[in-house]
Amino acid sequence: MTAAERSPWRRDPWIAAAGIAAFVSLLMMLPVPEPADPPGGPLPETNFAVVNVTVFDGEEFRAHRDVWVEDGRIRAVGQRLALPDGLPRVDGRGHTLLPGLIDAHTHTYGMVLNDSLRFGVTTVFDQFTAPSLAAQKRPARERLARTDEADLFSAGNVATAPGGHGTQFGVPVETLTSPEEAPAFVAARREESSDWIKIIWEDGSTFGADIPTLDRETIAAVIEAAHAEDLLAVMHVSSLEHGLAALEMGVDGLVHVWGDEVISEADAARFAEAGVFVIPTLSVRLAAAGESMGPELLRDLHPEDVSDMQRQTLAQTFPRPAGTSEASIESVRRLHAAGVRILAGTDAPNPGTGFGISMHGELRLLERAGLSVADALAAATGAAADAFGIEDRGRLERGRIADLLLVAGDLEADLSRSAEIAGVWKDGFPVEAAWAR
Amino acid sequence: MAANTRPALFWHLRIALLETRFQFLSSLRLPAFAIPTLLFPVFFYLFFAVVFQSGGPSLAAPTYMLATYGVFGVLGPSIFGFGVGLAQERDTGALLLKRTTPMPAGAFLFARVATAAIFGAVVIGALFLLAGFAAGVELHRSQWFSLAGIILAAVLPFSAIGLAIGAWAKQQAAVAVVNLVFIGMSLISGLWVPIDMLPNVMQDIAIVFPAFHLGQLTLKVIDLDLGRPIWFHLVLLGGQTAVCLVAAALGFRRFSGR
Repeated sequence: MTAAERSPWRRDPWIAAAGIAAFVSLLMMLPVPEPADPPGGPLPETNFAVVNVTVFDGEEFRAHRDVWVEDGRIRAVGQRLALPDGLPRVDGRGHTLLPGLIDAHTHTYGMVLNDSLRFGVTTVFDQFTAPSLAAQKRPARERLARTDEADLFSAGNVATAPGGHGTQFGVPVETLTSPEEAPAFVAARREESSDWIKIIWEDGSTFGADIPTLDRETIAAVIEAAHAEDLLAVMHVSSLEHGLAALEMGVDGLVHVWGDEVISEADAARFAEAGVFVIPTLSVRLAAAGESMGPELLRDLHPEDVSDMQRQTLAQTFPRPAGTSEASIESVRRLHAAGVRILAGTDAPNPGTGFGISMHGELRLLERAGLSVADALAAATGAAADAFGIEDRGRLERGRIADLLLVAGDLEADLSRSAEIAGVWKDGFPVEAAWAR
Repeated sequence: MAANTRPALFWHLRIALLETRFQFLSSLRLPAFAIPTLLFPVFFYLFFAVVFQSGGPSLAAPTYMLATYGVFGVLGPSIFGFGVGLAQERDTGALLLKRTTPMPAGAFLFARVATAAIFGAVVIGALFLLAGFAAGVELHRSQWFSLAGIILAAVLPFSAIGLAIGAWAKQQAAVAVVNLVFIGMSLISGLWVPIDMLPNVMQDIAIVFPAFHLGQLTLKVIDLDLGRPIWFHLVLLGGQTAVCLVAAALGFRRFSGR
């Protein structure tokens, strides 16, 4: 070997090439994540993770999160979770994952729980149904199992006057007439496992009718008795005057916003100060004014999933449309601006609404009333759970039930994307629906 | 001789490679340079990302630190090599000696940049091995390559900083200045501690540092950046590098004119 051959002049290029090759080989052998399947195929159940997804956690959006579900509950939500080998993964890129929606105002009837679930509503707050039906459905919410129904929380029997609003539907209603009956009435509801007490204050004056209703003393006594039993007292009112009076009586929440007048900013501030929540049910206020979101929702949501009953109730109209929805929307705007907790509820299956499907319309109406996308979604998730003191759902956080809604696209940028359902899990089990096929 | 018929570029490359070899060897034999630049980032990562984070529910911290300690890992050899090394060679007259040789100036610069890149590659290699096999970090293949690519490319803007310091500071001062920039810029730019844990004032200040932008560009690869657009970082980084190069040129003109 000559000196020239040993010279670095000849060896250097080889050393450089070897170094580069070694570096590239090192990069080639570093560990890569297990593959994640894009949604669209069969979704995993019970134990799985949705990875690299934008999350709405019940309060705010967070990008690039992993959500780990274990035994039907959320085990962890975070960035780059240390997931076990072999855990099925759903690729969440380009999607938004949020807690299953809570419709805070429905009436249990027909296929409500099944119809709701297909549209991502995993829990309904029923604001009046037969106590026996509520009793039959309640246990399901205590167990984590494969189901085709949303979970039910219910007021059961409502507090109303004989012949008053609520007695016209054919469901037997235990009525009351005097303040003295209030404690026994509430005790009976507690016995029936009512989750809260709902009071009807409706004299029909806003729509030209004359309906018997509870007097103020009785209403105040029922609120007091509910609080004595540690139950929330919520109220149906349909005028601003009644809403303000209910506030004075110490009500915890209103299950409608009125449509007769726009609330003043000062009065809105009083609601905020008292911590009273409002479930405006703009969907039904819109229908009561003769407007409808039906065509829009039937266009945007998976038509194969819409049941005959959903189609039918969406197409129905109120017998005497009155007023406009603008006053209601403006009141919600002011209430929200004042800091009042607004919850999303549809009052389905009233005319112009459909179980589940109308929640996607209610979200849009809340946005129209000035709520940010995050606030509108919180109204349908975290805020709803908080307002009713429910701690096992409504948020994506460790320990809560894996009730999940996966939608395609950036929900924060466009709330109407809530209709583009790519997956629903109830108790960690994927829900079967047309969008899954 | 056949060799003489080769194109000039061939010889330029040969000279550049040879100069790199000597530059690399002399750096390696300088423990004050080699040990801290190679071991600091690796030991920091070992303690903060592997030992402290072991068994945690999230790999966000070890993944974040992989990117930022990687940038930190090339910052050292780049600014020390140019900043201190150049000031030293100039003040001892070695630079003047080199200028009398027929070696092209390009080869001289290439050798220093390449030396920093080699040290950087060794640091990256060690960090990546620790991250992948000790901390449990998993990245897509494209992410591993992108990280390595951006971190290695960081040698250029960092060398520009070193060049500017080396051009202006005297040998003794250069050590102090380089250390100040090395530590101060790393900390404020979020290379040691996640930047969103730093006070807002520091986050605002960080924008003037190339290390901040390189940190954010690497963090973008793994979705852990602050969310500013890529062009924002590239434009500022480009501007800052241009300022350093102009400063360096002015400094050397002063030196040459002496």
